[in-house]
Amino acid sequence: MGRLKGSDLKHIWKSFTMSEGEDDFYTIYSHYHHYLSFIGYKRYFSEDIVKDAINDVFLYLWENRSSLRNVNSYHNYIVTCFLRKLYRKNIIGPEEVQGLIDVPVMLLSPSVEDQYIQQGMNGTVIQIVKEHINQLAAKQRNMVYQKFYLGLSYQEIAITNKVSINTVYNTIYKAIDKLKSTITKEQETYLLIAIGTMILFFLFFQIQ
Amino acid sequence: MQEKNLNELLKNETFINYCLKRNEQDVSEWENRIKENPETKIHLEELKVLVLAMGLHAGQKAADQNYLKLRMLITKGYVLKKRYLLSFFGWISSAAAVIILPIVLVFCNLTKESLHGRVTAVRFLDVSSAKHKEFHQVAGHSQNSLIYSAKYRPEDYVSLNQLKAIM
Repeated sequence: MGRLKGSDLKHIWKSFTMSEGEDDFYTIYSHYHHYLSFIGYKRYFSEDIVKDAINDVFLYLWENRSSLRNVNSYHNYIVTCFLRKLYRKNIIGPEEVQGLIDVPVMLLSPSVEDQYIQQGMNGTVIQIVKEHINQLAAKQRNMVYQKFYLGLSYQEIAITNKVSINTVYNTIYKAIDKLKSTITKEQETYLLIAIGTMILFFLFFQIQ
Repeated sequence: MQEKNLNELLKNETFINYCLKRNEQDVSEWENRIKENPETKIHLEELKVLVLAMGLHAGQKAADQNYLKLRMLITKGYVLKKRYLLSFFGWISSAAAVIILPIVLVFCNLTKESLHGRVTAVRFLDVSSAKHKEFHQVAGHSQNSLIYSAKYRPEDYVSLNQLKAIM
C-alpha cells in the first residue's frame, strides 16, 4: 500500500470516526504500523513489545471509535497513545487531547518512501521477492524489515533483537543471498525457456 | 557479483542509506562512485532493487500479520463482552428468582389457606361436576345438587384450573 498524504489521511480519519468502518480503520492501521514500529525500535523496545503496544492502541481506537469525533489532531493522539503504552502508562481519553504537545516530525517519519521504492523496482523482481519472502524465517524477515524498510542501523537492530551485530549481518546476508539465488535460478529458467522456444521456431521454419 | 563484495556491501550502512535515500551525503557519494566505475552500475542497481523489494514486502507482511492479531483481539473482546453480558443477565435472573420465588410461595400458601377456609364445594365449568376430596362437605345450595351425583375421577382433578369456586 502506498504512503498516504496528510490530507488523504485526515479524510480517512474523519470517515472512520463518522461511519466507523473497518476499511478506513485498516488504512489508518497500515499507515501507522510502520511509523509506530520505527519509533518503538528507535527506543530499543523489543519486537513483541512494539507490536503489542501498536495493537493495544488500535484496539482502544476501535472500541472507542464512536467517541473519537472530537479528536482533530489524530496524528499526535495516536503517537502519544502509543508512547504511553510503550512506557506502560494509561492511554489518554479523547477528551484529554487538547493538552497534547506536538511530537517532532523527525521522530515520526521512517527514512524510506514507498513511492520511491515502487518506482525503483522492476516487475519480475517484485513478483519473485513477494513469492519468496514468506519462505524466510520470522526473525529473518523482521530483521529485513527493520533494515531495508525502516532503515535502522545494524547496532539498533542488534539491541532490539538482543543479538550480536554479527548475527544481524549474517541473518540479513543469508536472507538476501537466498532470495538472490532464487531469482537467478528463476531468471535462468526463463532464459532457457526463451532460448528453447526460439530454437523450436527456428527449426520449424527451417523444415518448411 | 562476488559473495565477498555482496557481503561487504550489505555491511556498509552508507550503501543501504543510498538504496533507501536515507541521507543526501551517502546518496551523492554512491552516485559519484557509480559514475567513476560504470561497470559496477548493473550489479549495484540489481542489489538496490533487491534491497528495496525485500524491505517493502517484509514491511507489508509485518503489518498484515500484526493486523491479523489485532482482528483476533477484537473478536476475542466481543466474545468476552458477550460472555460477560450473559453471566450478568444470569446473575440478575438468579437474584430475581431468589426474590420472587418466596413471594410466590407465600402468596400460594395464603391462597390455599383461604380456599380451605372458605370453599365448600366446586363445580366444573362444563356440565359434568365432581365432588373433590378436599372439598367434601355439602355445599348447601339446592341448585347445585349435581355435585353429589357425580363420582370423583382422577382426570377431573387435573382440570382443576377450570374450576369455579362456589363461595
